[in-house]
Amino acid sequence: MEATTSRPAHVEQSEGSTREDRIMRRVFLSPAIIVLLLLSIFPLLWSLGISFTNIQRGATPDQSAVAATTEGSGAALPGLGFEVTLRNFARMPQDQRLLTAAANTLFYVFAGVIIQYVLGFGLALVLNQEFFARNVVRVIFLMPMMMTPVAAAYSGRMLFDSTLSPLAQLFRTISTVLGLERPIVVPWLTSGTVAPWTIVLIDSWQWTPFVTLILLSGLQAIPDEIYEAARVDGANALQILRKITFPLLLPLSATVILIRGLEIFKIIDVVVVATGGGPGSATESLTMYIFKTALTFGNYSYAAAISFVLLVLVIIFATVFLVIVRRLSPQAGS
Amino acid sequence: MKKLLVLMLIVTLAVGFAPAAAQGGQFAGQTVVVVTQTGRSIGGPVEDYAPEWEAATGGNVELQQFAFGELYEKMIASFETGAIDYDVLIFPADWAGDFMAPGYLEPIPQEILDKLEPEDIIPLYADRITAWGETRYALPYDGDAHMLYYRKDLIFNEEYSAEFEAQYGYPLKEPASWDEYYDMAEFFNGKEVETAGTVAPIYGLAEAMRRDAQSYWVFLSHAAGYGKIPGNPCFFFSCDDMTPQVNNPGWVRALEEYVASRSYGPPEMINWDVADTRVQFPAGVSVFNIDWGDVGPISINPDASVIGGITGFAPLPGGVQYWDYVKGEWVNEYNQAPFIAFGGWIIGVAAGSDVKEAALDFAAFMARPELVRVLAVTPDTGINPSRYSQLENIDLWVNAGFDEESAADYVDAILNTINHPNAVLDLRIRGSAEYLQTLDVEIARAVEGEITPQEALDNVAAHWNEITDRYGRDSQLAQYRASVGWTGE
Amino acid sequence: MTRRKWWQSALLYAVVIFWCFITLFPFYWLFTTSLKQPLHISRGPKYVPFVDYQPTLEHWQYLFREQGETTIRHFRNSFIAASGSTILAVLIGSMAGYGLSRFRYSWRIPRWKNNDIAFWIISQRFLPPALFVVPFLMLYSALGLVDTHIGLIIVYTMFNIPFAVWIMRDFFNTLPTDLEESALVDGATRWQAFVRIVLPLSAPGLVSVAIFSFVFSWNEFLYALMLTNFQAITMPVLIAAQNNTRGIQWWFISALTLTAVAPVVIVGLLLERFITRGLVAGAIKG
Repeated sequence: MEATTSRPAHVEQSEGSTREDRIMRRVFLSPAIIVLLLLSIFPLLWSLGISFTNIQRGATPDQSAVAATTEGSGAALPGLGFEVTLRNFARMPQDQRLLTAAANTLFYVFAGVIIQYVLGFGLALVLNQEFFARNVVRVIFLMPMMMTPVAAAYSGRMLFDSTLSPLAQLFRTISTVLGLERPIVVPWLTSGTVAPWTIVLIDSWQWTPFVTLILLSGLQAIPDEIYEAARVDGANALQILRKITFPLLLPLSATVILIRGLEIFKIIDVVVVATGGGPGSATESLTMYIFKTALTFGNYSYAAAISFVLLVLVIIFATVFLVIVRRLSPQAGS
Repeated sequence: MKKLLVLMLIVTLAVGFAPAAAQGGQFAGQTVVVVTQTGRSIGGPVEDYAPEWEAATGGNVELQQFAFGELYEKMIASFETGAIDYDVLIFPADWAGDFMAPGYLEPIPQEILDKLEPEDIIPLYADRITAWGETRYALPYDGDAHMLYYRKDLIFNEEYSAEFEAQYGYPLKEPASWDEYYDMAEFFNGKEVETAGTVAPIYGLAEAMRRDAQSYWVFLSHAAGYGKIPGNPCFFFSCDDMTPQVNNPGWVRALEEYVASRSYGPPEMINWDVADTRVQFPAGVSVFNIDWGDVGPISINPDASVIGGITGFAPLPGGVQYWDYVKGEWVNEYNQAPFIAFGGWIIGVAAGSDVKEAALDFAAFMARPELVRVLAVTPDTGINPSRYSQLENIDLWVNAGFDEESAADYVDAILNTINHPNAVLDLRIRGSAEYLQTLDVEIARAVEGEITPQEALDNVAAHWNEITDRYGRDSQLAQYRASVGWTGE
Repeated sequence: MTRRKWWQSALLYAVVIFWCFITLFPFYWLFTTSLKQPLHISRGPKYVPFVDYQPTLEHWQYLFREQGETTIRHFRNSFIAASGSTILAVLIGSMAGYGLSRFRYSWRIPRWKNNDIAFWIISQRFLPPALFVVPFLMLYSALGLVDTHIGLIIVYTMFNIPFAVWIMRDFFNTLPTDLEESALVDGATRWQAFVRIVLPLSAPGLVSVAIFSFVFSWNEFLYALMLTNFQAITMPVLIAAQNNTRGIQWWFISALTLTAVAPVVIVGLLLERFITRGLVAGAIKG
């Protein structure tokens, strides 16, 4: 990603000095471009197209065209049969369920990214130390990532059960030890205020290792001489962390934050399995809402419209983030 | 050399003809893909009995299963995108409108229907849940209605009864009304009682409340007693103009009670589906439970239950009053209205299937009376009784492991439910799934306290009107009238 | 490295042990759950087999004996989809990464240079999946790709390419060009130089890309759910499907999850030393 890939000076880029290179230049890049273009162009165009119609289950072309002409609320295209309308977009700001889902999703993104980054950074610093059985421990640290999110969510349901889980028993034991009258029962998945946090915890259990892994690879690339020099100058560990390690890792941190942020933006499987979006609408995510809108409710056009707005927002968000990071980054512009 | 050739010829012939001779069946080489939900229930019997059909016909059966929460999406997507990957669909009857009305399913030929001993099937399951208009698009397989389960040992305990009477003014008994039900749930909630040899606090009730699952049916079971008018079959909508009744005071009272009942159940209950309560109730978590017939056979399975023999079965309680939407007033009369939730799993054949003949044959094979009778008494099949012969023959149930009293009790509860003159049928019009999903979300929000029950049900009514208008109010009205058997004034 | 003080070591080990516990406990819990009877779960937590409950192997037997064929079919499907898309993504991704690292591109429509192209490629990874599911389903049923291994391989390749391009481009940026250039001078073609010199030097990068691609495809749920019906269904969908009207089949979920996770963990153990090295890339040295 741009933020991280400042080019080492010894790699020269060229447009290809020989005729062969000018051809190979295209050969190298084309397969990726073609695959991505072919696969994304149809869904994008299709979604864009139907987001301006009223295509949905139960609304047959004829009826809606008739409805459109009689209502006069949209232009009926004779050949198309479906009404062409902006209603899907106009409806969004009033769609309470959509707004709640959007708020929940933003919460997941921010809480998830902060927790995962802080923990991930700390663990990367730990793993960068020498200690007994470090290689085995590194793989253990990565294990959660290797579990399918569906299974992680089921495990979450088992471990965060408010009465039958070991965790619940731990809290009961603590209550007894403290001599509390009523045992502490944490409604991990059953209270609208706690459940979103639990979702974040499950996601963080799974993906903190990813952050750790990326940052660890960055840490290992920092040459020891830089630390040595700082130590000679009398810097303590905290100062080294603040003045050297952290700034050097900043571009990589930005990348990792962006990746995790955008991945969490798409969260669905964990939510569906752990809470089904409940209690109430406390944990419903945007992707889940869109998915339900399209397939359960058959409102394909509205689902497409939401996805499209989402796509635009994501791109804006990512671009702004990258621009800010590039400004802040010490290697900016190199 | 010659010998070798002859030998090779013989071997070739033998190999070539052997399978044909063995299979020789009418559907040799055809593969029927059956789709239903996962697990032993509903799908299990297909697994067990398909080999028999395969051996007889030479056909091949492949079973594909999905979690209940994904099943509707998978089926409807297969139809709407024209992929048609499934030949036989075993699905909940209340999706009938979405599958049958657009013509996605193949009409069932009369000769197949005749073979099913149609006079033995309870009419409710024979006609109403398998037909759309005049045409039958599915075969009955399972019969489903909600009922009440309770702990006999606690309710019929004299000590508790005396204590209860001192507090509430009447003795403990099988609750007939929701008021009594909640009184008893409140009384027992948190009480230290003995279950399977250990004394521990018990909860009053365990009802499904999880969102995006099957719990809205449990709520509908509460609503029926308060919202159903005796003698008027129209419950979800008014049969005059399709006005949603979902936000009338009867329904609102039901939702208020459903929300309040959170405090009589385990804290985890709000995240429980029926699938969870039917694990928890047999494990001794609560005094009461509302569920389909499944809990009966589960209760006698010692691996999963500690309440075998001490489970009571009853039709759903009724309301102490009901809202008459025609007159617009409360009627203070006891009103029992058992809810025939769901209606049962039925078997359909995709109209677009390219092995239609074989698929129909296999569907008929699975729905045949001898098989269905056996399945209904077997724990773990998920198949509940849908035939008179299943309910009239107590021995079937006793042989399956019920004690005689429990068997009679269980069968009685089912019969009293489905034969009840005031029973409520599940919603069965186009868009049913969408109507009910909307209800599901808003109920969940009310349960969590995000909005009041009134607001929640007002939202539902607004959505329902929107859905009705989209499909066409007149046609929806006609369908609704037909589905409840409304004959007009 | 300076010597740590005793309390620093103690703290270090405390953190390591604590986090190992957090990480491993769910796996342990899955393991014990896979040996439990329903009542062991619904009547309070039981911790240690033989100590506080009598374990049973019947769930494992059910999955691998009675249902053996089904379980193995799903496992094989996951394997085919994941490895197929991994191979393709590594190949296509490293080619594009190499191109973007070594050549200068300037497109006319749109007016994009290397960084823009790279960003566009990477951005494909972040498209909302909900946008794709329905059109893909239509496209796939038109092309007859629903419920095929190829179908899954194509989608997963599409989602793995961006990550592959990102990692590989960074990696190639750190590789000096001298070696390829001397090969080119010696008469090798560009392709030969790429395959014989650059790729072998990039092994750590390729391995980490491969592992990430594999893990992503192995665990993917949403597309697998929607785009497969029968023949090509993968493990995550099978795991999710263990929630049925009989209650959530915790023991099957646990056993299947452990089965699905085992091969990935083993591969991870074997290739651990590559993973971090591969990601080192040009991230720091600027």
